[in-house]
Amino acid sequence: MIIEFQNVEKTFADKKQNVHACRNINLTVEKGDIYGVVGYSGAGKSTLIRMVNALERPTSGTVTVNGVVISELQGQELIHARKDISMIFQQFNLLESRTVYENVAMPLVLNHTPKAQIRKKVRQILQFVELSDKADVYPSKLSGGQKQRVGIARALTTDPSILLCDEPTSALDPRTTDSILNLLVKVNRELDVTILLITHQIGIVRKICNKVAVMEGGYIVEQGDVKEVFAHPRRPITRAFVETVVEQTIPETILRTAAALKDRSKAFKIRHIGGNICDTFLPDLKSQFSAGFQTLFVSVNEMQGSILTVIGLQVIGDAAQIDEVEEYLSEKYEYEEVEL
Amino acid sequence: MIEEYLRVPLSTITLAASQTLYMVGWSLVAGAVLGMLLAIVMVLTRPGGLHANRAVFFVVSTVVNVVRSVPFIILMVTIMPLTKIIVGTRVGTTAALVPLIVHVGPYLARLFENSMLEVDNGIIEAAQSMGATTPQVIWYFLIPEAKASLVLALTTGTIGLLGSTTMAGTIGGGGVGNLALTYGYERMNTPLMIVTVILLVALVQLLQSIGDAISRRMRHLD
Repeated sequence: MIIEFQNVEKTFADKKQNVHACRNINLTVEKGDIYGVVGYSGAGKSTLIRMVNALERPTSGTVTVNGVVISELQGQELIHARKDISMIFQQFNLLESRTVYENVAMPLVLNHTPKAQIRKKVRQILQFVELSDKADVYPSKLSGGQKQRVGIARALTTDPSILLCDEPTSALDPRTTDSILNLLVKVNRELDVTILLITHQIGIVRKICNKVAVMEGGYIVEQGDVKEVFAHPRRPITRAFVETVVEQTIPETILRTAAALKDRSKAFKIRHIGGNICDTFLPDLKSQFSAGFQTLFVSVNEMQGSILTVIGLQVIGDAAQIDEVEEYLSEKYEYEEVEL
Repeated sequence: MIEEYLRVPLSTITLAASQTLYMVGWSLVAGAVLGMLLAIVMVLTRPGGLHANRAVFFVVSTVVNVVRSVPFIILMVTIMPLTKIIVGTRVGTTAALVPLIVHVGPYLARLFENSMLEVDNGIIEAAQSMGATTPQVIWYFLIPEAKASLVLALTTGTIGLLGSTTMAGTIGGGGVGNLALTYGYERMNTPLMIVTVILLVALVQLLQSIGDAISRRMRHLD
């Protein structure tokens, strides 16, 4: 593991009350992960990510990075450890008084790296983020996406093993967001950098993360493989997040029509992750059961190399017929009953 | 011709001008250094600062406030013993430097402090995340990012200083202000007074324009 939170609590002492920003956090990021922490603002994710490079210190518990308990480091040791953990920000935090080149060179200047070496490294990194032509431009002349590219370039100059991303695309439009996400994936794959990112945009997690943790009120309420969490969201907040990117509500009008058969039918929502079942799902049921079937809704979604299918299904028949189908569904799929 | 019109020898005018320049110049340099040091201490030690320290912040901040609340002419006579220790005399142009520095240092400290507090906290966070030491944060992040605003603060300070030097005549410091008072006002030489005022106004305008122009260039916006 590369980052590990063990029983981490963080309380901010205010004059009036204590604010529990993080509660009982246990989280492990493995080497090579793109780990997404998602939550609404005030959920504590910002505090969480800042404990990885000790911009914040836990009130209790430990944060271990690359085998070192960073939450206890001080002075030179901390400064040294931070050189291996880079960070990018929602507002980019570039130096407005310096050119793109000077911004990207800054971490090396702080390390007293020889000029020639800096020049070589910065050129190389600017090429990597496709900003070679902007080297002598000041940040105020750049678009948001370009600014974030500079931020990423600056973060990469010291060849870190970890990149922390604090809402990296929240200030960007959707198209720019995609290009930044692609760049982050490239950083992860080609430069072998482990990424921990926090966001309130679950779409980002679906696109690039392999692991996800959902935060609410300072707690991590759900965590695991992205595929798993998207296919089987347990907590209401996770469902709410997943619903914003995976369409899974049965349209009103269809539901109302279906309700006409309320007395002799049941409706279900079925989730399946894996291959494409669009053509096989209903024929399978029809060939095995005598009940009648009505498809209410189908949603098919890309999920990191797999297909997440959500199907709304109405089963029509007598109680015995319906029970038999329900039993079959419970064996093969993740399902829930929908109120008609 | 000018001498006839103003009814003073030209040498008196140039002497006064050079005295003002001398006082403003040196007290500005020394005051800016003192002000910057105080400002950095306040920015670092303030609650939420990089080295938050209630006691240090309280002491420095209070001293700055106290000095700033004493009118310059009072300050000048109050610290005469200190002046005597430092420059060996209580009167004269060089003696006026001591109260001018004591006066303008804390004034600039407040202005500089405000300029540096304008720097987005995110910049400081970025600096820390790169593993910058405190001196590096100040030198590579805080001051460069505040530079444009610092220049404006310095401009304001210089203009204020110019005003203060006019009182230096009280302790024999001479200068343009003294010229206007002794030759212009007391001898009822209205032309001299008016010319002095016009020159001072022009100088202030010039200083402000230069300050604005430099500051604008530093922002790299156009």
